[in-house]
Amino acid sequence: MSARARVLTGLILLGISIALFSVAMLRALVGDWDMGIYLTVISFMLMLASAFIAATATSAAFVPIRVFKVRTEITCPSCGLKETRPFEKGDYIFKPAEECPRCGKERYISSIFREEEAEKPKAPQEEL
Amino acid sequence: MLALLSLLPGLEGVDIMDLIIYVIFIFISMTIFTLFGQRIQVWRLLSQVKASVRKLKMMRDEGRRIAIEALEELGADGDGVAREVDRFIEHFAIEPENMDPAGVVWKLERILDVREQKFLDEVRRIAPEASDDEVHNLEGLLEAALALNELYKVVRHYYLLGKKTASLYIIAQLQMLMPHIMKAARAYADALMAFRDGQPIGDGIGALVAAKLMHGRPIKQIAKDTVVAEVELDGRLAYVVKAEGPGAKVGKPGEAVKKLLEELEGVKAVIFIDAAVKLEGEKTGEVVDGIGVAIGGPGVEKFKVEEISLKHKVLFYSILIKVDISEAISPMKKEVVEAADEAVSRLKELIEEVTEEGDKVIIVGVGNTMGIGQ
Repeated sequence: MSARARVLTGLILLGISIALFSVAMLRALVGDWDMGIYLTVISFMLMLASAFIAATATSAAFVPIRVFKVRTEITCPSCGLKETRPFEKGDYIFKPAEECPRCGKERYISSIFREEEAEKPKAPQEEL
Repeated sequence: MLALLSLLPGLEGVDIMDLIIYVIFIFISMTIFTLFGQRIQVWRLLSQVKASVRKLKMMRDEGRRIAIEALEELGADGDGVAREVDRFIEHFAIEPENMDPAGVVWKLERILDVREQKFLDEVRRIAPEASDDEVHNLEGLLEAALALNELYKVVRHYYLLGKKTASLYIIAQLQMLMPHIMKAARAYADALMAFRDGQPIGDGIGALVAAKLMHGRPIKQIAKDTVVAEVELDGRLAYVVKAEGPGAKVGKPGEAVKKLLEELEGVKAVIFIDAAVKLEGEKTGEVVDGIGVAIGGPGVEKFKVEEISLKHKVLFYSILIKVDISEAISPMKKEVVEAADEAVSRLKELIEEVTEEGDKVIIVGVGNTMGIGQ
């Protein structure tokens, strides 16, 4: 089962257990104690199952090796033209690169950097 | 008997059977948690540590696989390479005896030199088609795989020991350390691909700053894997030192500074530029000033410079660029690359503050120069 499917199953079980617990409380309020206790026990068991599935989902989603997108920046020292392209094996900073398409002079690799993945907008962090 | 109990004050009209059941339930619960509470805690902690051990094993196995593939690409023999990598990642170095600490630095240097030479020779033997730079990169890759293997084995050892002895204190200590261990493991895992492809890493920022200063100038070798170039900076003569790129080398910056101080007359200051591990909450790429010898690692190179500084009474300054431990050995982030220009500006300001026109100054770009030429 994929990590996403596990998380979904865990959430569904959690939802059912909360619903059952609410029904159990209502039964207890109207004096049906036996039914209240049975439903509470079932609800707790479902909560436990949900927690277990969620815990296994975390380890299933684990990525042992992260591969970063790395880009190479090429600069022309004559006209200042800058271009970036994906990193190729053998690239290094200050390596001479192909001719400039604008002025025809020799260019060089001026920078190699990791491209950050677009992050989801987060709530601003509290300044400490 | 039960009827008699219900006559006791406060128990009139109470169902005595229910009361007894509640008391038994509470008693059993108390007994279970008193007798087995620690065992339950041990079981919970063990399951958490086990999940981390499993993750470490996955990282170790991936490291081994990547190392094998990289060696095969450079001419390694398909059948024997897995066995060679397994032997390599089990390698260890024995620290010198320090009961009598005098001279221990030189003994440590010797051991580190022999270790490095042995690793490089082994890589050359396993991957005969690799160029010199590729040999250094592969050596870095195998070092990262070795570190992952060591982390996995040490954590597994304490996990099994804790399980065997059911000692809460062993397991609790391990569980408390796990976030730091996993962070270190993540850093090594991120380093694998960078070393395989020869990409600049965060630790190379010092070398990048030096490369920016010496680019286009004639260079000469000053120490093993270390080069120097003479650069004129605002009327001062700067001797810029860095490891020789673009292979994964750190060189011998301490040895280079020692030689330059012995050869040159009247050096006014030595300025080190290096990456420094940032604290949580600090910004990546922040440039800060410092005093002293900023050379990381086992301390041999730092010791050499500190030793000679007593004789020459030269001033030591440092410019540090803050990076997280996980950023130090993974591909260089854009903020770090951009910090190189800021560090060059700060360096020029510092030279203007502490020296005068015509003075000689040594500038050392410390760090791994993988993916950075000169």
